[in-house]
Amino acid sequence: MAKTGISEIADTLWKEPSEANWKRFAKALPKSGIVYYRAVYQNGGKLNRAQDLTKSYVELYDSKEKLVAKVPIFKRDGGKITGATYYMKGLLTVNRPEEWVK
Amino acid sequence: MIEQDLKTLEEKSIYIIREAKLKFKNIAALWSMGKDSTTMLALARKAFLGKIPFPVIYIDNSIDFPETYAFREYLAKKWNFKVIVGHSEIKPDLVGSACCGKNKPETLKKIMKEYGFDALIVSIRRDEHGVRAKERYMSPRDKNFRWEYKNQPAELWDDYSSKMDTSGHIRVHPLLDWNELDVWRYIKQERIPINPLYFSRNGFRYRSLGCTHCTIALKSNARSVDDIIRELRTTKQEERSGRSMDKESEYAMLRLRSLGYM
Amino acid sequence: MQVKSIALLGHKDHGKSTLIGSLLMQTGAATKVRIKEAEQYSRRLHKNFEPAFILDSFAEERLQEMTIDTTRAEIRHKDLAFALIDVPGHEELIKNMISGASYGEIALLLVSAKRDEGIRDQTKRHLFIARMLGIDRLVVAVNKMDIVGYGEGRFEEVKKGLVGFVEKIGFGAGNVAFVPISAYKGENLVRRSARMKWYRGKPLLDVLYEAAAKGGRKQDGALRIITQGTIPGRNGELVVGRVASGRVKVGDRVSILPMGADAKVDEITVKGRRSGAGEVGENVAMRLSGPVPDGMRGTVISDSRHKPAVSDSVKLRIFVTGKFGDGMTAKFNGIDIQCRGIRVLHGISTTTGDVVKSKTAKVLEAVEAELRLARKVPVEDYSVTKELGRFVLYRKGRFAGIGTVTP
Repeated sequence: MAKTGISEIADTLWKEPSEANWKRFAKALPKSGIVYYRAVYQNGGKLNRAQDLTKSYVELYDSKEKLVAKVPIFKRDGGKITGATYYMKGLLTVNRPEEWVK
Repeated sequence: MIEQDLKTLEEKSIYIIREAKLKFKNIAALWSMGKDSTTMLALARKAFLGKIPFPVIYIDNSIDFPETYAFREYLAKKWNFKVIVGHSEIKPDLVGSACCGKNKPETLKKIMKEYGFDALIVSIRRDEHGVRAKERYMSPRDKNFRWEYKNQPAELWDDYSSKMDTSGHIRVHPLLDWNELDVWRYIKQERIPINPLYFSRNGFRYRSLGCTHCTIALKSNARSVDDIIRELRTTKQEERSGRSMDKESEYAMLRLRSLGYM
Repeated sequence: MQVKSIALLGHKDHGKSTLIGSLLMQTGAATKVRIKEAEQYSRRLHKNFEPAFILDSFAEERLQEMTIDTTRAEIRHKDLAFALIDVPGHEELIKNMISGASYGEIALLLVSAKRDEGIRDQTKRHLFIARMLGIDRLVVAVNKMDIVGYGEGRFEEVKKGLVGFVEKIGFGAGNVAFVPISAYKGENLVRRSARMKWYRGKPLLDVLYEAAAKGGRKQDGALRIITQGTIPGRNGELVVGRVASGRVKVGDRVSILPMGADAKVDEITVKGRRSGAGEVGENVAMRLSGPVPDGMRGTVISDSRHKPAVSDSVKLRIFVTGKFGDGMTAKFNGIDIQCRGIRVLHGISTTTGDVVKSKTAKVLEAVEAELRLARKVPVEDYSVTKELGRFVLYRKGRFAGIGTVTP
C-alpha cells in the first residue's frame, strides 16, 4: 500500500475508531486521492448486533481503482459501537464483485 | 410495465399531498433518499409553490451509503427543507435482517411521539410489493404502528378516512398508483436530482436502495435516466430483487408492515 | 398510456376467469410458455383447453411472489390499457371505489346465457350500487353463447331482462351496450365472431374502448372548484382546490359558497407554475381579491353567475349499509357535518329499481330521504356535479350509507 496520509489515519482508526479520529479521516479524504470504496461484510454477512461491525471493513481505492487502504466500518464512542460510513461522504461505490478486485 | 399518463398521476399525488397537509395538524414525510421519496418531495414542492411544508424524517442506521449521506445534505440545502435524523440501532429483527427491519420503526416511533406527528407521508407504490397492493391512500396505524390490513375503512369518493384512536397516526401514500417506470419517466421529465447509486458503475447498479449491508448491486449498464428507462422497458426482473430482506421471507414483509415497518 | 379501470361485475360462475384468460391470450399478454402450461394443465384434468388456467398459473406465480392482487388484470387494447378489477360483492365494490378519478366510471357485467344461470338479484343489486357510486357506462357481456348454440334468441332474452332495470336505476340508454360472447371459445372478444353474424355491433374490447372514450369530466359545465383549504403564498393566502367542472381563468368573478362571498381571481398557480387558467381535473392554487373567509376547507368556488343551491336540507337517494337514527354525520367534500334529522320518504328496491311503500331503511336496500344538516352546503344533482351531490353517512362511527342528490 502506498504511504499516504490516509494509510496512517487508517492505522490509527484500527487502533482507535473514535469520533475524533473519524473526523480527522473525513477531513483528510478530499485531498487523499481516494475516489472509490467497497464495504466488505464479514461473518457470512450476518449483522445481528452493532458488535458484528467490528468484523467488517471498507476498502478504499484511488481514481484508477487501485486499493489504497482498508479502514474499519464502525465508530466506538465510549462503549457504544455504530457505523461510520457517514465519514466517507464524497466517495463513490466501486461496485465490483469480490473476485474482480485485486 | 404499463406507462401510465404522468399528468394524471401527478395531479392525483398533488391532491393527496395537499389533502394530508390541510387535513392533519402536524405531518411529516419519510425520506429514504431513494427515487420514490425524492419524487414525492418534488411533488410536494409543486403542491406548495416550491416550498416543502413539512419536516422530512430520515432514519439513519449508520451504515448507509456515503453517496446517500452526501445526497441528503445536497438536496436538503438545494430545496431548503428541514430534516429530522433518527438514529436506529443495529439488532436482529423478526426475519434476521438486522439493518432495515425492526429497528427502524422503533426509531420512527420515538420520533413520531417526540414531535407529536399525526400523519406520515410514505412513498410506497402499489406495484412494488404484493402486500402494498392492499394499502390505501390513507391507511390508519394504531399507537403500536399496527396496520389492520384486513379491516380497513373504505375510501369513498376522494374522502380519505381519518378514523382512528387518537394515539395512532395515518400513513399517507401519494405515490400508490405509480409504477417504477412512471417514477423514472417523471424524474426525467422534471429533472429531479437523484442519488447516484442508481447509475451503473463497472457494470452494476442499484435498483432499490437500502444500506451498504442489505443492498446488492444488479448487473446493468444504465448510466443515465434515459438508460434506466430503456432498461426497465425490457426487463423482467423484480425491482426489489437486490434487497436481501425480501428474499428471506415474503410473508415476513406482511408481518413487518402490520407491525409498523414502513 | 391511459389506464382505464373497469369494475368487473357478475356472479362467480359466469366465466370471469375464463374471460380474463382469453383476453390475455388474444391480446398477446400471455406468453407461449404460459399458454402451453394451461394446455398441459387442461389435459391433466382430461378437459378441453380452458383459458381460465392461464390466469391460474398467473395466480400461482403471483402467490409465490406474494403479489397478492390477483383480482386485477391489465389488458392492452390500441392506445389504452384496461385494468379489470374483480369486485365480487357490494362490500368489495364500496371498499374499492377508491376515488372517482382512479377507479373509473365503467362497469363490465358478465352474465351467463345458460338457461339455469342468467340474471340474479345479487347481480342487479350490484348494478344498483355501481350506478350510485358513479359508474355511468355499462357493458354487459352475455357469456357462454357457445352453450346456447350462438342463438340470437337467448341473447335478446337476457338483454330484455336487464334493459328496463338499468334504465330505471339511471343508466342512460346510450351508455349501455350488450355484447354476445363466448369467453371459453374466445368468440367476439377481440375480433368479430363468425358464429354470430346476426350481431351487428363491435367485439367486446372495441365496445369497452368506445365506452372509455365517452368519459371524461365536463369541460363545458359551470365552474366548480372544491376547496381543500388555504396555503401561504408570496402575496398572502392562496386558496387550493381541484377544478370539478368548468375552467377557471384569471379575472373570473367567483362566489365562495356556502358563505356567499364574492371575489375576483387575481392569480392562478398550477403545479407550481403561474398559469392563466386552471382546467377541469387540475389542482389549482388561487389568489383571490379581497379577504379570504375563515373555514375554507370543504367550500365551493363557483362561477358567480351560475351558482349551485345552498341549503341545509337535501333530498338523497341512499343505499343503506347500517342503522339510521340519532347522532348521524355526513361526510361531504372532506368535512364532517352533523345531521339534525333524516326523514325517509319511501323505499326503493335495489333489485327492481321500483319505489316501495316501506319507510324503514333496510340494509342492502335503498331509500329516498330528506336529510337535514347542521350547516348549509352548496349542493347540486349528482348527475350535474358529482362532487356536490354525494354524501357518505356515518352513525356513531359506523358506515350507515351512501347518498346521492336526486331531483
